Amino acid sequence: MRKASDLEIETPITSMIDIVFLLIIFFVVTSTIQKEAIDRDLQLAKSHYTDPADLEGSKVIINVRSGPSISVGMQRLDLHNLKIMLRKLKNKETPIVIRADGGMTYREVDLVMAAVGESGMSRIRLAASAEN
Amino acid sequence: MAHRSKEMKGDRTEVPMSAMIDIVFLLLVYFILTFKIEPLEAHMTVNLPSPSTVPGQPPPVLLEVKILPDRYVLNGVGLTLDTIERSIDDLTRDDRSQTLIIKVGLEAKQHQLISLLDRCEKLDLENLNILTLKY
Repeated sequence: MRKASDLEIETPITSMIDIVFLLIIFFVVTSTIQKEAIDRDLQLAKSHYTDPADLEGSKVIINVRSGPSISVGMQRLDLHNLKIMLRKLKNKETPIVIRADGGMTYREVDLVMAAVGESGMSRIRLAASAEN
Repeated sequence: MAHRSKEMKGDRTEVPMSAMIDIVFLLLVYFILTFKIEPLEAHMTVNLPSPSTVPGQPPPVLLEVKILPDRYVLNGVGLTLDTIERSIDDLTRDDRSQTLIIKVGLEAKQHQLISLLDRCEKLDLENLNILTLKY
């Protein structure tokens, strides 16, 4: 017979570790670099009837804040550099998504849209927050 | 030696897991803190004026909406968002492929344009052209 002092109390942690690994796999899979292309602080105008779009896939996302302050991905650009960047795109059919703050005047958005148009890009999409 | 051989015979071999579990928990805490729900976004397709359009010879304009800072104007009549939706619905009931020209005033807000595009999406209008309304 073993003495009581020799006994070790072991907490069964195998199943907990399984769950922790599953959670980690979930987070690793759902964290993608694509998210960085989105400026989360922008207050997009709300839409109620338009179907949510797929954020994945080949597209150029332009974030526009009041100013206008323009950023593509993590890179801040002015209008001139934005045009240069867009002109370098080989596929002129690449969708251009303009994410402009809902409270901005169209005067500022127009500058960006004009720059996109002058770069020869024809497929423009305006982003809104899908509330449906 | 005698002690060691006794231990190997009687006990199971255990892999030391403590350090790995520590790191796994650190990773988990990191991911939980940095996780954000992906926002749902709607993307509305619009057309810009084509450079190939010959000036002075515009296509036949059937519907033209102006967006001003305080109202929408359809074919010269000032309307609210709800009334303009009904009017556009009536005018395009027979042909949803009609071209809608949206002229946006420079002082209009972006959310006004998005709201109108949203209503056009509701009505299944596809040909939406945006022009800038310069005073």
